[in-house]
Amino acid sequence: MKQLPSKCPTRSKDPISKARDIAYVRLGRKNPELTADYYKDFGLSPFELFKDRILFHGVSSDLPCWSLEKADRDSLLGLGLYISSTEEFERLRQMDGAEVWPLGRFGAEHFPTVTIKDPSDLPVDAVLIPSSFFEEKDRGGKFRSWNSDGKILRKNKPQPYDVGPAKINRLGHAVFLKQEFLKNAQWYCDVFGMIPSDIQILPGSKEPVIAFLRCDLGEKLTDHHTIVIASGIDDRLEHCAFELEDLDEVAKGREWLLKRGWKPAWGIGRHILGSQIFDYQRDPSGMLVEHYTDGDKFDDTVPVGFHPISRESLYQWGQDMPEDFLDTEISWDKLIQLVKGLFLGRNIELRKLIQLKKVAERSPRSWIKY
Amino acid sequence: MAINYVRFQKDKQIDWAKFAEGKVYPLGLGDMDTRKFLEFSKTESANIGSKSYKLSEVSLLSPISSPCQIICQGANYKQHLIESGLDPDDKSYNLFFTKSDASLTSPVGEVIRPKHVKLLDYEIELGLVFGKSIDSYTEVNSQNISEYVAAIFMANDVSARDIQLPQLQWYKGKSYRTFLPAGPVLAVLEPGDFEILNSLELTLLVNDRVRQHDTISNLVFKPEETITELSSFCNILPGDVLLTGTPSGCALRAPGKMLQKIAGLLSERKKWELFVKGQSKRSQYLQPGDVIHSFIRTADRRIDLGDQFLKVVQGL
Repeated sequence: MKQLPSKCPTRSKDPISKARDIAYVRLGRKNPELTADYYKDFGLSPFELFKDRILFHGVSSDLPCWSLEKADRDSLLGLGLYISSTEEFERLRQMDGAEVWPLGRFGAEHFPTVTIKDPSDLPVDAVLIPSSFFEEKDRGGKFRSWNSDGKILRKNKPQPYDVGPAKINRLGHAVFLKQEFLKNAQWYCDVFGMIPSDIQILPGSKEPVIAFLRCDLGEKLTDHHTIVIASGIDDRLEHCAFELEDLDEVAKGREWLLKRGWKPAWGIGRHILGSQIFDYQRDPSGMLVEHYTDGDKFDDTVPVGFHPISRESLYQWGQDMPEDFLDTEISWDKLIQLVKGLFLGRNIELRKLIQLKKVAERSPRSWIKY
Repeated sequence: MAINYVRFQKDKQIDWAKFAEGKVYPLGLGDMDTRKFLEFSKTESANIGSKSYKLSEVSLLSPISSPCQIICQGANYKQHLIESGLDPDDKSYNLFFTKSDASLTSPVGEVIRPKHVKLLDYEIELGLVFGKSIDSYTEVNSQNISEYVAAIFMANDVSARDIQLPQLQWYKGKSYRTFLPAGPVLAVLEPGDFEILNSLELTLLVNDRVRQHDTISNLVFKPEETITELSSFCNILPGDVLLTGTPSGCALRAPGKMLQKIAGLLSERKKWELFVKGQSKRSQYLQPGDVIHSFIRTADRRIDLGDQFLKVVQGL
């Protein structure tokens, strides 16, 4: 008999804390210096250069949002989320295995941090910073104005011509693949008060496979997604996305990376879920990174949406998606991770992964023949 | 773009409100029926004050008021036809039936399973609200449909399968009190909205598991065609509604072709006895305590008919 589909993650009535935003992502790299050259071209500003750790920030904040750390292999080391309530900090500290960093993970920023592990064993830092940090700041942008028929903002002036790396405002979101989809997605809802904005399901079996989660800031607006959890054969970071000022900035960033000899991954286009204009690139390790602008901003009243998943569901317009954009290959390393996961007794739904692979191999548009 | 309204109760007062950006803006119209409200919405631009409520502060009511005529379409999505044991290529007729307006109930509340009912099923559907009378044969097409259909809403066509099928009582099996949760949103359509309707996605979850999901584009008989046919045998008044059928994923599953042939040899009584026995094994049927969450919206949320939250309770 046909099984009922798995449960979907839902918003928690009484979460332990409420994350305010993503703080940083920590990456292990065999060669942090080479990778740092890439991220300078990508548009991040170096913040602190140590021998075995390089920190970067975006222009909207002096706090680090990107950490490249010396490691034996290219991997994800951890994630940081901001919280702003001392009670929430205390509650997180009481959790099993919690570890406290009184001066913060990186020592210099003096924001107490507590580290807990998500169900895939990823260390997640909750960084306690004052709520004033989240107030709207004038970032001095908007140096371009756009003319349109009937609305002329630029009189007697050509559009400024600008060359260089993209100006990155901030780290916007991170997308994680997890062997245990529901357990991880629900954990971020229960522990950090995340709210599902949209959930994608497999056509046919109606199994949930991707959850776009946003922060709960009450009436205040927040990104459509801050964390995305997707079903995967292994546990890893799929990509991170950085917010830029406008479409020109996205295109400028792409031009610069191409000029510097880096290979693009996919772009430019507009997503459906989250609506942002995107451009995807790959760092020297092959990991995807995204420049984006004009994403959706939701408050806590917007209810969840459900949509079938396919390559087509990823964009409303844009450059044709290259075949290798979605990593559907089963590598030796992934197989080892899968076996390890099964050995650890993880609830890995192979049936779902096989269906997902099939869906991901289908060309998104009738005229694209892979 | 469609304008969203809700009908609600607060402090024992019933009122209509504009529903925008997750908030309820009361209009101060009092307990007006759906037909009058549609007239109102056509002529006057809704005056919203600065007062607003959160959804959690009000009790949502069905935006469809009784008395009204409730006409339904059966087996109107391809996949649902197949699982109901019908051949979609064979189906050359539009299946119509009606529900009693006594079944109308709030979109957030309870669905009562009558004491003698075992096979309680759910059916998410898009509902159309008529805005114009029809009393003779009328050709409705994509050009003039907006004259006849004034608004849309979400409905759950709750069904007692063990009454509907073995007793051949569609009217009764589909009309027990609380068998038609409607709303919360009455989306009053504007020019151009009809083109967006095809991208509406219907989703129904029971206990957070997706049971039904499809888009309106998969309707077998489109609203234009259906209303044209309806006009040949039915009079319509403003405020009457048409439920357009449900996608696949209901608890009901028709027995296979072979089994149906064998059952044909049995007495009627024996056949339906076996049917009820067979269906009772399906864990998909609603049980007391189950929570149904359903919604109809486009991915870009240009049209959003809101969320229904229903708890199944045992009738006494």
